Amino acid sequence: MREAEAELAARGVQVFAVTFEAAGRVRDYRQRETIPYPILRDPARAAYRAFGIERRGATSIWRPRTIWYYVKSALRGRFAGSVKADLYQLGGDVLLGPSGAVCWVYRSREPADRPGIETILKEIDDCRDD
Amino acid sequence: MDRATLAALRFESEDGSEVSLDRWHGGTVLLVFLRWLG
Repeated sequence: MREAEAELAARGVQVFAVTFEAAGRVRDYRQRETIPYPILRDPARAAYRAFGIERRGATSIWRPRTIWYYVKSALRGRFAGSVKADLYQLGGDVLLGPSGAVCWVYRSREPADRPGIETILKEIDDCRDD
Repeated sequence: MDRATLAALRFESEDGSEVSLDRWHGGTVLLVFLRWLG
């Protein structure tokens, strides 16, 4: 996402990261990282549920692709377990058009499943005609 | 999703204030739902 910042800015898209983690974790993350987007908290995960972004069980999460994803994250110094993250919560992307209507929702099927930036930009371009 | 459900959603911004999605009407908004702050 960070590499796509210019593409998103050129399209006039406002990007927000949404997390359910504690406010203190957000402050720590902000100090540690240079994420260019505001972070919104949804501690009760009401928006996660409203958009159908699921929390899955262990058998759905711990597949070889997911384990490899976490191994790669750990090699980059990012240890999800050490920050008490909920490893069973999946992510997603939601695009809202100028009228406020939902244009597109991408629900990750597993932790390593995220849409590519090309997909996101195409959806944005389609949504601009909303 | 119906507009009433969307309008009812509330988030907490980094300054602790409460925000709703209708604040950004008129522009395109991408919400990236994170799994964890890694």
